[in-house]
Amino acid sequence: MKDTIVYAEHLYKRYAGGDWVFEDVNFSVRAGDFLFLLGSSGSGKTTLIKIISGQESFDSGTVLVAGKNLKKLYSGKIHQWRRHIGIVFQDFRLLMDLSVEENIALPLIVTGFSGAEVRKRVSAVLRLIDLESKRKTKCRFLSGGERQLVAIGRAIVHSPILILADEPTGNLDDEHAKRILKLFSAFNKRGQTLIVATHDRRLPMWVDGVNIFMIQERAIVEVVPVRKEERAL
Amino acid sequence: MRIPWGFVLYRVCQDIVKEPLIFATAVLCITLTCVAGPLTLVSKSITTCLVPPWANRAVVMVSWKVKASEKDRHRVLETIRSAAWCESIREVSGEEVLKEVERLAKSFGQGFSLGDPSVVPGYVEITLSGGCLDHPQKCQAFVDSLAADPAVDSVYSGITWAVEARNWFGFIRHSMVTLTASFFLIMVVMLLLLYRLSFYRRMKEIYLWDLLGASPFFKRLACYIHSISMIVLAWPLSLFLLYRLNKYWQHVERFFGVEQTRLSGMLPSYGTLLGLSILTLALVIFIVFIIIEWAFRKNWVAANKADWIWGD
Repeated sequence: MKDTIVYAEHLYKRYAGGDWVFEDVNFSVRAGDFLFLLGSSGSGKTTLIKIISGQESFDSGTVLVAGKNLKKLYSGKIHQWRRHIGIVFQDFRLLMDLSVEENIALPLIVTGFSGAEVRKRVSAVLRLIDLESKRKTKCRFLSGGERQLVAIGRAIVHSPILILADEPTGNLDDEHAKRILKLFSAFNKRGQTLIVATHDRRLPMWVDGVNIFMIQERAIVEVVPVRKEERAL
Repeated sequence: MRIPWGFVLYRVCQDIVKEPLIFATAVLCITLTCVAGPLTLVSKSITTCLVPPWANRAVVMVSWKVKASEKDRHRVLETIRSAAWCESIREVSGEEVLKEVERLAKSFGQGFSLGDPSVVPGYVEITLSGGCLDHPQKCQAFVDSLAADPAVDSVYSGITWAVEARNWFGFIRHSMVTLTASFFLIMVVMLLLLYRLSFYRRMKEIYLWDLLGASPFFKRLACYIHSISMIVLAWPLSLFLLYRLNKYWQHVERFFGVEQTRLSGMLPSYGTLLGLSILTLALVIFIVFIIIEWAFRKNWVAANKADWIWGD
């Protein structure tokens, strides 16, 4: 259990009046993992991301996040867990009337970082995502790829222990998608744990050293990743 | 935890600038609530004052027979004076009746010569208090007993008319109390709807705060500051309106003829209205904060329900 960021055991989930989304699902994510959640639309990828981020409850089973029982966090402490994660969405979920740097600074502002610390971290992130020249630009004036970079910047600025990305390349062309994945890969090489949910089966092949979970028929199946050298053969 | 007041204030100001009409409507709504509250609380005394004095008493006139003896008249007068509802008695002799007729005739430009006052019957004008109107049947029975007295020639009773006038004014009073109370409630409901609207407009932001790990207090903070700014603007405005209304009452008093009467003394002073306004303000603050708490507890902006709002 040491170094385990997410641990799920006998997880059951179903929406009111609907079929089971997960039945007896077991999995774990260790620190430093780069995990791809693959599955067709409606298979439950987003639901799993929401469960891990505490946006969605589950019917039964145990989910431990950073060693803490997620169910116990629901009673008023879930925000403490959310401070340790960064989330990236397909539709970016940025405040369009705020500038790039203001959007990136949001996790720091809401969790009470000092002004100096906010400026320092935001500048570092802007350099990392290569958007320094657009720091004052309102997000509504950015392209889709740039918006996703801002969303990624917002997800990493507070040094989370886990980054969750739900279809992060869903609205992007291949060129931008590769750029985003390259960025994720760079974070992972620095020890960052990532879970990326996608329906696009090509994405795991663009990155090295990833784990792949397939969601099929309400269960999670671990898939052996294809290595770069194997792909070359 | 450090609270980023500057950022929250900046967001609230942005909100106000973006939708000034909604903000102004909410301020107006709180202002009218703060005016309607004190008026509802004092509406009973205000409406009592609006009932003119003549609608609160009945007049009965008892005419003597020409041949009624002094002893009989004295007996009847004693009976009248001993009645619980008798407010005042005015005796008018035959001579005074003739003088009054002469005065009236002159005012119409006609000549009139005084006749023999001894053959003109006098009368008694009895003013019955409001208590009589509470029991009109008993009161009428008393008047009927007077009419049956051998010394009495005839009786004119204004009781039925007075009861009708009082009922009519009572209906107006109740309508006005109901209206002010309804107005107060409508304003509260409007406030609730405006808050709901404002929550939907702020849904993305609150959703993001929630997702980024903001504490429950931080999520509510912008709503609190927004509400406080509305109340700070609305309350002085409501005090000004109450002040103007208080001044306007003098015209109302004159119109209904209750100026400088016991009834006009019952009209609430500006100090009373100010006190009640503070009470209403406390109630409005309580209502606003209950709405905010309710909105968050009822998940008007729940993260798991907010997927559809990110359409752009």
